[in-house]
Amino acid sequence: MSLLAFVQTIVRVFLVWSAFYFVGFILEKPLKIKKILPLIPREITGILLFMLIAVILSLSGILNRTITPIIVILIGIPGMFVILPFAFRKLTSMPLSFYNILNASIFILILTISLTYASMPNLSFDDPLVTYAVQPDRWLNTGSIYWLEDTAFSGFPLTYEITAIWPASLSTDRIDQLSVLQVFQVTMLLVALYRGAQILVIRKKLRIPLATVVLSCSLIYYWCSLAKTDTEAILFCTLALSSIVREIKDRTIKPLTSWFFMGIALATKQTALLILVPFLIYGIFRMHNSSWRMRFAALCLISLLPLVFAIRTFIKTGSPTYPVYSISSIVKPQWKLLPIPEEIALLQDRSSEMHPESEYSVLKHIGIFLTSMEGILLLFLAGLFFAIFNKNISLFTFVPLLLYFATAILVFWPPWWGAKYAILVYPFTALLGTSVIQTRRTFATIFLPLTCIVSIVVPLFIVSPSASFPGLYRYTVTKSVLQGEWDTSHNYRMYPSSPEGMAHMWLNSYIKEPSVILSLHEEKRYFCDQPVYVGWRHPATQYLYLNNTLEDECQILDNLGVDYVLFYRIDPGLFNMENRLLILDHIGINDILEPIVIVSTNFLICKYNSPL
Amino acid sequence: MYMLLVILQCAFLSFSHPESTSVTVSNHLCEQSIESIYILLPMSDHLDIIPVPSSIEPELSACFSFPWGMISRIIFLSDSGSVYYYNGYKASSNPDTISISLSRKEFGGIFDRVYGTSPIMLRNGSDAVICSVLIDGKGVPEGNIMGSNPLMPGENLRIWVNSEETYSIRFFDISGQQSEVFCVSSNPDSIVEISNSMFYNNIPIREQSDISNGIVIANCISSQLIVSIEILDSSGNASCFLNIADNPLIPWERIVLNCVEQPAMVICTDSLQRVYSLSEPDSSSGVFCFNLLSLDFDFSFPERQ
Repeated sequence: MSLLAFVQTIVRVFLVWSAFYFVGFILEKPLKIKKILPLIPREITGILLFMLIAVILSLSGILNRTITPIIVILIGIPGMFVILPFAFRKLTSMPLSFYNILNASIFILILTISLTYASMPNLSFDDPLVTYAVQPDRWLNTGSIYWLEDTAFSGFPLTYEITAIWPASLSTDRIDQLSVLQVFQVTMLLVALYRGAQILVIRKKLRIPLATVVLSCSLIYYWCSLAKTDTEAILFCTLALSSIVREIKDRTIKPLTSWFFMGIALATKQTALLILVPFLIYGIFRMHNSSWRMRFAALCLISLLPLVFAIRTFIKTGSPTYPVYSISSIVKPQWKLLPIPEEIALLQDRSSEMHPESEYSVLKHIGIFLTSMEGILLLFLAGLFFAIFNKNISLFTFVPLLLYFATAILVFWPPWWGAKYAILVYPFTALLGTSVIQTRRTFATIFLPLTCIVSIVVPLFIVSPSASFPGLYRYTVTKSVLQGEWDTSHNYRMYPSSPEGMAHMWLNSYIKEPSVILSLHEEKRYFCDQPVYVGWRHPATQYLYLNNTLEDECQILDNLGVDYVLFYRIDPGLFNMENRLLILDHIGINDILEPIVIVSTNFLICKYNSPL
Repeated sequence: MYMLLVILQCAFLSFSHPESTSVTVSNHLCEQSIESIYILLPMSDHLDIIPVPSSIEPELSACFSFPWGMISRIIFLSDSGSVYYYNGYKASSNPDTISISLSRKEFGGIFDRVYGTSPIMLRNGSDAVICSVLIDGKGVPEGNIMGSNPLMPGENLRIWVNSEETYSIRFFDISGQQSEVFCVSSNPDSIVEISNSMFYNNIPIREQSDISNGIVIANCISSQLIVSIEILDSSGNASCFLNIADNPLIPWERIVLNCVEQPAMVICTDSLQRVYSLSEPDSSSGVFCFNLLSLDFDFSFPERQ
């Protein structure tokens, strides 16, 4: 954490985007991509081509930390010579008005807050350290894209993981890698906003305050800074929805780009399935008088990338979308997942009585869902208001989004928890609202900056369990990152981390031979060089948590070749889970689970001695 | 006025809690009977015994009278010698059941060994994984009182004894090294710290230098031999490198090395080529005590480690 490290991270991420853009720039014409997909931006072409390069390198076994960064640097540096003059021209063409300078200054401030926050590696949040950041990391370590046998989450979809290989390859160690990947996410959001605004032909003057509104949103601030699939899914959902709206407005544009983007979104995050609600309404409306050839082409494009991952997952597990929405009856026996243990299910059921929020009224739930959008909701409502009272704007533009909100509230119930899954439409919602209100120039020019102020000020006072004064917290993070030292003056702490990361790094040094690790509860595996089976998550170990004999349990461990077992020393299982894990009755010297060391005061590393 | 006071007193008595309450203890242990129950009340320095007329067989329950209110810890002893516990139990007027199963086992943190009601409190402040504890004195059993689950560094052992006599206690680490015998009597106000120095006995210190102008390095890794030692100065240069592969430092052995200024880092290698490092000596003893947590680990990618 230092200003220099922060700048280095920004430069490396920029280098990756330069490489993406440059490849798109060079190959756009020879490949005639714009003929089929007229709205596709160059850097998106670049991402897809880089995904292809990753697969080719993987097949050759050279997708490693030497070859991959060389490719990024060799393509990225000439790319900078294309992008920088272009960006300079764009900037100098902007009139130096007070309005523009003020908007730009606020935007830079908010962007710095988001980027500094993202540059601080989040060791507390599970998902990236369970799978999303783990896969590109392990692939680069071994030189090829392969199926991680120790997790059920190595299948469909993998667009983010393959894209993330490129920024990850420029990192110096695992912590730095997280920082680079997190900053990369924020830049994906910027690309989504910039390209979305271009596609919807939003006036240049309004783009910066619009981006400020979206970046200020608390959910975006948090979720788009994580090294996981969300922001890439946001990118493609935004592009898909913006493109389809544009294709409806301008019927001279071939209606294929949107379907292709939607396909990539589905191949990035399975939650994007719900975006099909607004997308298909728009899409069917656009296609209703198109030729069958066009409709067939659209269907092919939406299913192209998801199909690639689905076939791979089907061959491995028997079900194309395993492990989420998998068809249980066709899953291969070794990949069949049991229901997760009741104790964990109880904890994960956000509508259960364990969570006091379950007592909220329906109206409060809906209110939470909508107000989570913060300033974006204001833009949406303004757009909706215009559509209702302006005969030139069709109300239909907003109907699919309203239907989406209704569906999302139901599907992601309860909203206090599920609202975060709806962030995939946040940038598009803001873009759509702005594209409608911009028809009244003066109104839009005043309304956008006002929304900006509300978007910046309101979240500063929304209290969350982690930050009693979020504004002060954001300031603390930015100041700490830029100063290179955590600022303790406001009593905010850096992210706490669960202990298994420390245990894994210790094992990396302790273990001298390839080993297999079983974690009874904690899920992360990012810092471990060895395969880590999470007992309650993996189909091969879930049987441990059923009522069975000690011999059965040891047989499961023996079948996997487990060498070390990790769990909390004082309270190894959640609630009374220990009652079904009979091996826990055999902790001792020369016993089945032989304690070696305790890390982080309460996390025990045991050697597994098979009695069989 | 008098009547009012009487009414208030009556009201107070009617709302005040009873002295005791009935609690059902249900045994869900596999092939183990619960033989005795002890309770530790808040602010109390001794254990109270809950009389158990006959042991509670597996899958059976029995009803006991518990003092009403918060109980800091309830300790259940089984016929196999295993200890089960319940922390922070609130015995109230509502009939309640405590279910004793594997999840209530004493897995670690605090171990209770009950031979009486007054505590000898010990904390493993050493780097040793203590797998045997032998205690000599009145009313305590012979042999290892720990069972197979060891007392890990940082954990606590409470030996509850009856007498206020002095007891002699010895500890054994995983390599079989015996600690000094030390004598202690029950005292609820003090915690006896088990330190590394208690394991150095019988093993002579190896002196490569005069102890007055050198540093002491101790091998506190019970399972490993140290085969090389390197001392780095503040500029990162190696001021001393000692290859002792022919005569490695055995567990609990110490060596004095010549070192004029305080080293910035001391690095050791074990016989499996694992690297350990310490930048500071132990604050209480001034010795560089290498233990399993001194193992070097970082955020590097595998190929760069």
